[in-house]
Amino acid sequence: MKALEVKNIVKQFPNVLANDHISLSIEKGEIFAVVGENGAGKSTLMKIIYGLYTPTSGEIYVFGKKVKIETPEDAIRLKIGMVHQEFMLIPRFTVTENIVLGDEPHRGMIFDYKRAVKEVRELSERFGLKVDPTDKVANIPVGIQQRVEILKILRRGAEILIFDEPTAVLTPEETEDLFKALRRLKAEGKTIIFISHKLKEVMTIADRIAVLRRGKLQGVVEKEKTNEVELARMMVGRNVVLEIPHVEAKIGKTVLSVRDLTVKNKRGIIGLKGVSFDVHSGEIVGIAGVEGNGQAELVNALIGFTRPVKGKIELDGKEIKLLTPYNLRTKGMVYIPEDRKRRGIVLPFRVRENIIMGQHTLYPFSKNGILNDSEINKFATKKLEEFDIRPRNIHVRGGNLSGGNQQKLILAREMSIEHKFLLASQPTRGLDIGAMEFVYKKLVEEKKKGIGVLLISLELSEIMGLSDRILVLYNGEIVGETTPDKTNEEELGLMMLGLKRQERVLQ
Amino acid sequence: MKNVLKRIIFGPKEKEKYWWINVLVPIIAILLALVVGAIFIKLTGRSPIVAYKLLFGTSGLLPGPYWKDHFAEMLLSTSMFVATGLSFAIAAKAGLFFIGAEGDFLVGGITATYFGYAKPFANMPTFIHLTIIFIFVIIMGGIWGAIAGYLKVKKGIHEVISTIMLNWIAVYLIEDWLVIGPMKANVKTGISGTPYVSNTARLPIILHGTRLNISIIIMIIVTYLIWFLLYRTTFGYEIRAMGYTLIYGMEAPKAGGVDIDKRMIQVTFLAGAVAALGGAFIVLGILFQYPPVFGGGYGFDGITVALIGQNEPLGIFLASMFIGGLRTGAAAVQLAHIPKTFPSIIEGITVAFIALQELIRYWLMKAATAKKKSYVKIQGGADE
Amino acid sequence: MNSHTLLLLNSTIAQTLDYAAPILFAALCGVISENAGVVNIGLEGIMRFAAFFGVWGAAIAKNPWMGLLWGIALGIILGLMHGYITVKWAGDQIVSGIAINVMALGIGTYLLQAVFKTTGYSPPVPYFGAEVNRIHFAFLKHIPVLGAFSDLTFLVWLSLITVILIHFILYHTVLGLRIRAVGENPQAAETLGVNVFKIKWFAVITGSVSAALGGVALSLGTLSSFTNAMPMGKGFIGLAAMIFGKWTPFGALIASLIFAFAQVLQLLLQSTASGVAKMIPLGFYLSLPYFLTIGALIGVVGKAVAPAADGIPYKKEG
Repeated sequence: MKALEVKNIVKQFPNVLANDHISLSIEKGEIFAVVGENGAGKSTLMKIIYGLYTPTSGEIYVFGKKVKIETPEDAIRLKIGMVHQEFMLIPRFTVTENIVLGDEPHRGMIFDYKRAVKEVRELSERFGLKVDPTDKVANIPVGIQQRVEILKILRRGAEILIFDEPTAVLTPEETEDLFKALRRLKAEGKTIIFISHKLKEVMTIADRIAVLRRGKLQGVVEKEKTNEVELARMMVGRNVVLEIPHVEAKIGKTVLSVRDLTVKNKRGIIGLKGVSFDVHSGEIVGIAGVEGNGQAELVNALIGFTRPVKGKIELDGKEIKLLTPYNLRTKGMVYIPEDRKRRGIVLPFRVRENIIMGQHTLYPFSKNGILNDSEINKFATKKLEEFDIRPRNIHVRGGNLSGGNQQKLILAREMSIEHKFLLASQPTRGLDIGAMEFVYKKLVEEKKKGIGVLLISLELSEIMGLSDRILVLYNGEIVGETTPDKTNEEELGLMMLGLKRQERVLQ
Repeated sequence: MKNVLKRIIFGPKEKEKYWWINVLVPIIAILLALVVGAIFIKLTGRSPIVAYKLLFGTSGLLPGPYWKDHFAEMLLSTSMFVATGLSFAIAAKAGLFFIGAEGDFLVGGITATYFGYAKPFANMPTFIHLTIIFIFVIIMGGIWGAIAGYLKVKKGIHEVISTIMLNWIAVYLIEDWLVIGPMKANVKTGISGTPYVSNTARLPIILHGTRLNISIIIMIIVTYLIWFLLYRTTFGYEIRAMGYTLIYGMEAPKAGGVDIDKRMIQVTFLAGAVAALGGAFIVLGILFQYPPVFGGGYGFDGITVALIGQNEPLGIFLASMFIGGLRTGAAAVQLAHIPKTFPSIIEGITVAFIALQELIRYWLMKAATAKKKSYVKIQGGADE
Repeated sequence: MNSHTLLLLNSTIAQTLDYAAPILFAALCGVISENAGVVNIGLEGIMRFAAFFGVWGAAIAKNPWMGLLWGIALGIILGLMHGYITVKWAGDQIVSGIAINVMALGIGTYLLQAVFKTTGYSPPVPYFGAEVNRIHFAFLKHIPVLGAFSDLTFLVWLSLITVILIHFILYHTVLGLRIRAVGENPQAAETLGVNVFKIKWFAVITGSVSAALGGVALSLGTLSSFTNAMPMGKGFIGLAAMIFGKWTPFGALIASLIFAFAQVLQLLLQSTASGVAKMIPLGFYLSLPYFLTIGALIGVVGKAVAPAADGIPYKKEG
């Protein structure tokens, strides 16, 4: 029996044809994956199915019946539920309040919170998705937050569950838990649509896989009859080998030296505990670790956002006493942030304005505090060309660039500032394969130029492929130091989970 | 040479499709407000045609009988609106909702008064005297404004609360202490309020036979300077970037080395200083003393002006002329048995339509794209 | 406790409640509408409109209840306007609020002249503070503190009841949960089938009515006429009280009471000042409440956090 069928779905956005006559049919009780690069139209298609977007044209059938889905309310009524990529949760509400919102147990007008808690507890037990109903969502880890999302839609009686990039924010451990839950839901007869661009995961969990590229359906394949390479080719439209060319490191003098660095996190708890390490010119040092083990604290200290409790930071052999972003930047640090929109660019600013952020006070962009527009424009035009940022218009606002082009803009900017040390914090987060390759290429170029690079990443393949040296961060401490040829992903994984420790001697 | 001049005046050319919509929005808002205002007059049993004839005939915006006088009066109030309007806009660019212009205006007024009559300064040559006065006006107004910035940076107090409180504190401390206490005029002179400022502290007249003084020239220069500051300097660059932090909570400017806390205090200083200029103008050009009751309101008018002018310096200048014209013509509408606060109804409705600009833009865009028979919308976009 | 101090205590409390009522209504307007994510700084103007129309209604019907109804009607109309701009068209909430304030300024004066043929003050009209209209609980009269509640106006009671009512709605009803959800994360609420627009409309209109009640409390509470200076910044003070009270009804109550008490204290100090205190200039007394507010914000209250989606226009995508 077919759970969901879409026929000839078209979605025209002002500048993009996001979905171009897509037709799919999904069987009840299967795990159906939809893969594609960013911007391939996966999320758009799912938002159409969930009533968040109205399609330009096309038909949708749910359990054989032709339907019109204009609002999420319609979708819920048709037993369709969606776990969004960015969680739709209210941090100040409790788990229970989040789950029952929109269909609250009540006596008359009054919200029956006790009954709601009871219902949530029962629901959580029934599907084996453990949560504490009275916890505040702001205080629970991401993995549990996702469970809350799943429970939310299950409570609404969802039969068709859409997961939009559900593993993007999860640790490997949490991903494993999620997959267990998905299999259990499948066993209960639920239909699951799994959206991802991580092929390895799709090959693990899916029964059938649909590939989208630039709004068009490239084909639907069965898992048994395909492999990662074929999927990648379908996704990108050419053979992609995400092999990173190995370049021998020419290690020079120390450009960054961190000693006994102890940093508090946002909630005032020590998140980084007396960490010491060096980065030399001409090498890439990778920091592996599960998110939330001190990476944010390390980054915040290195860019001058948080003043460390103790410890010292030396750039290019000189200790930086006053750790402010401005001081660090002018002393040779540049930074590729983990969150482009938050820390990378100013969305309402034009490209020409964004591209000088951080060097706007320097000659030739300004002199005595007065901006030199023609120099800025010349520079911006040159960089657009050099880094292939599209569209080639320096007056476009940052918010109107695609994610990949935003990241290129940041790379172009940071790498043009005179620097000795580059801090790359999850530089490929949310990028598609093409843009990832670009970032890798640029990082290797930096290394060749004799820059010291500190790469913080949650992707082990990235760490293994790029790093000359690997440090493993666990629970705010460095629990191991190794090199890619002396270790493998399994061993790193164990260290990241705190199951294996290595003594290290710092010279 | 021509190009250099062009660049100084207009700045870099930034191609934006449909830029004219930004210009049309306030104009349409004003026209719609005039229509609604007319209906309002009609409903209360008066003639809108007579009213508008009187209003605009004496507004100084259009040539007519006694134009010179009206024109002078219009520009006289324009300079004060520009001051408070720019004050609001500078802070707004940085993402601050700074409504302290009212208090800063009064602080500027009382400072100008004091240095206008106080002993060592009075009777210095006009140029020197005025320079001294304005330096103190800028310092005092700036400090008063910067208190709000300081409280926000150091104590996390929302600028809306602190500026509201500071406005009232300014009113009471000035009018119920300084003016009736330490700065009271000698009883024997029979003057109520403070003493009059010396002749050397009065703003020189630039249009013979009227009250129009150099304040308008000062504000033309200040308007240009603020535009230059916002768009042609690193300071302005950082201020505008800050809005992204203060409004959307993003950290990109901070990561780019912008010291937001420091800038916040500087911006509030600047906003306070500019608003204080307005207070100095009214004292040095119109009242020549600080009267017992000041009857302010210029600070809040500044918000109106800034909103109609879309927070752009040139727009604010034009909006100030419009509001200044309405206020100048207001006295005449009383002949049609309409209270002279009628113009503020027009202003209010104009602002309401500014708030409704989404709707106006939607109409305009429809009109613009209908001809081309294109389904391409310009606003919004796919975020994928 | 002797009878003099008893009387002073009770009358001070009663006076504080009188002063607090308009501020409290204004603050509650902010509480309900900002919890749904809509900022309404037009409450100053709404109060002015309602203060005037309340007097007008009371004058025509010769009874304050009609004034109250007129005031509420005005609140609904202005709520519709603010809602049309900010909810329907996702316009700028601050700008819309300022529009209401500026219009109120002009229209208030205009109508004062057009309707009552006066400037400055309207003629006195029947009001809630009149002896016959007050609510008496004679048996409370001689009890400390509670005695203050023996002789209050209807509007003061209404303001206190409104606090409880809004608290109940926000934290104990389905509607309240949805209001807060919309103010925190409208997208999340929308995906769960909550009609975000309906909720916002409700909150904006209810809030406007509350602000309108504040206006009526100004002109028909302890006074019996509209004065052209109304509401003298009371709306903005209410806004401050809302932030001070961390966007909760009871917080707003406490903040309003503190502010009102500062006002009463100021009057008290002025009238009883002797010796050195007499030398303190009037301006210091008058500005005391505002200094106190800033002081309290610095000292007592930590950083207040607004609802996450407060002030952000909500547009449905696609």
